[in-house]
Amino acid sequence: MMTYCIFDKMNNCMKIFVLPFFLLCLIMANFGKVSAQVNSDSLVTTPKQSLGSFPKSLSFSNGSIQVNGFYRFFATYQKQNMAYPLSSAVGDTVLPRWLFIGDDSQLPNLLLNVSGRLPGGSSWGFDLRMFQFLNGTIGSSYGKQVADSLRPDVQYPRGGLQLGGNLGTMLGVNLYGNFNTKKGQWAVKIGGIQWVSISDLTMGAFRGYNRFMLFERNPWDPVGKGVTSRYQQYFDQGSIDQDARWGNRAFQGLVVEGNALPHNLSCLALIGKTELNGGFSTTPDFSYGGKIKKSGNSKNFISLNTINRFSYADSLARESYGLNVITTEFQYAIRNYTIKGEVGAGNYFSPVHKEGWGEQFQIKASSSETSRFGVFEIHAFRISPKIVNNNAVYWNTAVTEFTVNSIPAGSIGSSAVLQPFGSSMVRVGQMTNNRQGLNLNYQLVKKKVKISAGIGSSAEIKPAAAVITVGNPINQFTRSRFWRWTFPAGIGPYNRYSHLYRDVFQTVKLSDDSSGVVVNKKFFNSMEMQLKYKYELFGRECYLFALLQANSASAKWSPITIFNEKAYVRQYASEAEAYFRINSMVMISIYGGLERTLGNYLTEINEETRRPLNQTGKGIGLGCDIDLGRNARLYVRHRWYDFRDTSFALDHFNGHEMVVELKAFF
Amino acid sequence: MMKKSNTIYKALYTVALLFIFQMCFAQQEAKKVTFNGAARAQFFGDRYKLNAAEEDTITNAKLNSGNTLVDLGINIRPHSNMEIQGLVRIRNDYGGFWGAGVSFDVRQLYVKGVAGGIVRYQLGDINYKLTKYTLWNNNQEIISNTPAIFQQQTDVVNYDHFYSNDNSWRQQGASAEMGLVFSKYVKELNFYGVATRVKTSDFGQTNDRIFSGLSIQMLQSKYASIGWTATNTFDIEGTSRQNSTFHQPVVTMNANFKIPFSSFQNSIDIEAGKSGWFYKNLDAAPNLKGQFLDAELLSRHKATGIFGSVQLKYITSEFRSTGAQTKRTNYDAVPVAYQRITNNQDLRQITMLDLMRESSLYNMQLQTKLMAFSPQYDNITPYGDATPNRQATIIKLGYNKAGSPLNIESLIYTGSEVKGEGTKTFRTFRRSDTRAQLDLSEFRNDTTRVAEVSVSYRNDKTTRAGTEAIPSVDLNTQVWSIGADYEWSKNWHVLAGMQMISYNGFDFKNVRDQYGNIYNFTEMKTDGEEKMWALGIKHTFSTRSFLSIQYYNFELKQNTTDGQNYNFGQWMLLFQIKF
Repeated sequence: MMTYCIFDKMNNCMKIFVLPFFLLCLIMANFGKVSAQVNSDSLVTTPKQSLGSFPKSLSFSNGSIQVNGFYRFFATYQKQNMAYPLSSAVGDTVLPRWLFIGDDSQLPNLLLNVSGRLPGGSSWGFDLRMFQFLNGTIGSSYGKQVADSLRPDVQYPRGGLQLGGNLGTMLGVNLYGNFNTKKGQWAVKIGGIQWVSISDLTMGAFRGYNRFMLFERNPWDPVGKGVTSRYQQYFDQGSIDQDARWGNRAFQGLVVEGNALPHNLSCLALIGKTELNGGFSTTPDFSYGGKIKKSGNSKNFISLNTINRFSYADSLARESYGLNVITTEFQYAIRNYTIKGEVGAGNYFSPVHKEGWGEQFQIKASSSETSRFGVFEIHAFRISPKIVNNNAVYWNTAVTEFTVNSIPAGSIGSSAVLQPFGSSMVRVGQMTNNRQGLNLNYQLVKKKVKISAGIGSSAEIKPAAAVITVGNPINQFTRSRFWRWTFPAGIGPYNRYSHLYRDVFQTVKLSDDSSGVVVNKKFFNSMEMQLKYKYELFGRECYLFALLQANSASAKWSPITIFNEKAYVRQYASEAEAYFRINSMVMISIYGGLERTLGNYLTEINEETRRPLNQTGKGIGLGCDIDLGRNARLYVRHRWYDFRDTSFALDHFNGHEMVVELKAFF
Repeated sequence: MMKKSNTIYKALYTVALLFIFQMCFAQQEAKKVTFNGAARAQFFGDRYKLNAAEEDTITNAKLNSGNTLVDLGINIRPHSNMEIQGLVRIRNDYGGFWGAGVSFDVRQLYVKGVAGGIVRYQLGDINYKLTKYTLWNNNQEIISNTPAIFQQQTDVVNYDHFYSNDNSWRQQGASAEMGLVFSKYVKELNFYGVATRVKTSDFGQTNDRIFSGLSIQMLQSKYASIGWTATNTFDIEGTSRQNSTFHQPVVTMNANFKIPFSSFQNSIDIEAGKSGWFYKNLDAAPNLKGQFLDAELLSRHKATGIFGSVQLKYITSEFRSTGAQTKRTNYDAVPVAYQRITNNQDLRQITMLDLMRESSLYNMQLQTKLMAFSPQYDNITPYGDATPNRQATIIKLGYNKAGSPLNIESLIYTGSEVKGEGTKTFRTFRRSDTRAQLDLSEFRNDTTRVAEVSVSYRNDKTTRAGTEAIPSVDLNTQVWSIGADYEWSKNWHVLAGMQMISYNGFDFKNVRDQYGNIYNFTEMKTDGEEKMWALGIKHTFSTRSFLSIQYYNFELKQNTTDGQNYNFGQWMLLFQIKF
């Protein structure tokens, strides 16, 4: 009660005090000098105030921010002369004409890489991508708001409803830290996507032997310094500049790298998600791995590598599935020869896979690049069918992988990310599991002529599914554009094609099984030859490139490609292209390609013609490169294409296509 | 709603475009556009184990999650007296590839400046603070003074919710401030005004609701200052079909006097005021009128660093202050991680681990009613200094001297209710709280590297004598923690910490109606213990960035019939950059 009394008195005092206080303030205001005592944060210094808006001053680091990236306009116009069936559904055919602005791959029209660096060794970065399809939908903006619950699926990020519509990121957000210790130099990367490789048999992407054609550009290709630089570099080095993803795998999570460690050691450790682990489920689904490498003299080294995947088949995280791979890799140079190899073992486990560990190795022996007789390389490999590692350079062609749900691969929500391709006819050097083989490569470098050739022979370790998968190298990209946005399987007029990123392959069924049981192992042969020739015509550079391929799959071993009907499937492809500089700004290009794919009578027979595959693909192209100034180029390509299977009448398309690309780096 | 969302996204694109253009011109006009912000990567790996006779066969025991984000702030100064700050958040959820799982958002946008060299103004997002009884964002309980290792996750939550050390509330609106400077009698006269929108009309039954504040602070000299502050949370009549309007005014006077005496620094802080809480045109709603008085005498001995204070508080049960009583923690929310556990899939109760890391438990809107609180965690000051229905004496004693390795402070709170709840008998409150920090770096002859140990202990006791019909109240809470931060090598820290809360006893929980009136009580019998320990390594790249990896172990034991008993193990990786 006493407190109440005190309070009441105080309250009355307040009433008495407030009015005079206001009056006092008003009187004093007349005598005072008006000023902004509390200034804007970063504008003027301000005395410390305990009231008002906070913070009183913003803090800025003395770090730096950089922006770089590229702009890319890409348009294709297709004129189809045939109503080629996209699937077996009635009326589902290609349209007679199709104008498409933009790229249905992940590559946007504008990509900005924004990064900031702070003193002390830490930095951050993210990218911003913008798509523009010029489809006539004009509004206040290109996109619209999308609820979080409707975010696109991780397997189909460009599909469905998108955040920001045409605005987004491609690689996301990354944070980097570098520090030195007495024991070495360390780098930490967190976030993603990061581009990482460990070794060929653990985590990495196939680099090949740089035998490809330049007529059609990849979305990520650079423009080079001059109008001839792209072709000159390919002639000189056998490759063109590739971006960070070349040979690496996309990874999200934590990566730690240690270099200059004691005893010439270096290391790499990673934990997070590869694309195979992608998704937002909070149930653990991750990969981890790394390497410890000891370097010796020259380029010699030995390393211990591992990659492991750990996922759960059930929502309670009780039943696990995944893989373990461990290898040792080495390189040893002696005189003019280098031996590089990798040996290890792997294990794929799931509630339905309990095959245990299997072996894998590859070994490459090569001669010196300085030899006047050219460079030889012998490549031998063996990958057990028990190993399923889609992070590695080899493909899974043997094991049907465990899937959490039964949604078919390629469909939204499917957990079947990478289904087996079947026994694939592959390029020289490309490995698959359930296979062992030998490849011989040769390269001769002269001033005006470069020759690169390869021959390979491989065999299944145990009979796999009675199918062979084979791609069509001529008009490969044109054909892949028939199906945009999605990657469906079992499409085309006879449901035998499957769509991949910038490729299409067909599945050829075999009939030499025994009541459904595959009894014959398959043997594969491939031969490749690339010729590069440079000369000057009227004082201007001219480049000629040619690529010849001959591949076969059969039931018997052969040292070279089989050119008769003993092969289940034979494929021959010849491509040639020429580039000629008109002046400092313009370069013209010409392309021609011919392909034959033939099956024997142990493959699928058409019911009407009673004949197996008999495919012919043709392509003729004309184009030009126009220099638009520093780091900017316009590329125009026109291609006449034709594909026909005389045995399967519906498998026939014909038309022409124009591709226009404007690309500028900054 | 859709319109609002579209507006937000338009703003996003505008800021993004501004960003691009400004990037282009940044070289030419470097001083006009600067960048600031933060980047963060955070990943969790959780493991749950139920400690019960029956195994939990329904709950997923292991969870992983994480995200990486950049808050890119663009600070644009069109001229020397204006500043525009836009902050875009780009967030990439763990598991998203090729743009899936990425979200863009505008996190902050404001313009501020000085008009005519006289009035400082700010429009848009504002962090604002007045006095402890008018507009003050009180720290959340339990985890605000924890060892350094626990602070990392708390700091992330606080950053995301704009909770700063300055105790300001994030608001959306406008503010204006100005001052007068005098040559004699009075040094300064400062004026602060703010108006923010707390709620928007739905054009049906909800009016636009505004929070407004005005403060005049007169600095007579360095020895005396006096001020007047008034806030009002009110509905704008006519902005919907609802005829009744809400009003919640608070008016306070404050004064500060500094009285040097010999080698003692003495100061007196006083704040007193009154509040109202009422609806116009709604007879069913109560009309609450409250008052408060808060006076503190602080004395500090300059030579020895010993200080002490005596504080008297009197706050009536009807005192209401929207700006000062709104809590950060929303105890009506449920944790997102492991939301349901056991084979019955019971809702999981909030624990101190959740308070430390769960964004979903935190509130950013000013609330006009007293929010729910957890008596186990804080039954004495659940609404901070402005907790209603309290009269108390608070005695503090401490030691803090520059250059001294030891820093210690103790507090004894002795108080009671002003009005009984459900009975004429008052609850009485006792709190003893001691915190100490010891800097060991001097003992190893290297003060450039951190070596700190911190210890704290708090004991809360609530009692009330019972009657034949009403059981007595006796609720005890003990919180203790110990932590260490040891920099064993340059920029490399080992962090360790442990915190424990134990609570037991009985109390009644208030049940309030839609207007905040108590109309019933529920019995609350509690007997439990929460233990959390953590161990981690941190590398600091600079004062603005660090990388940390930590392991936490949390255990909840409850001995009541509906109690939950479980363990959590948690790995956390945190990389934080401020630029």
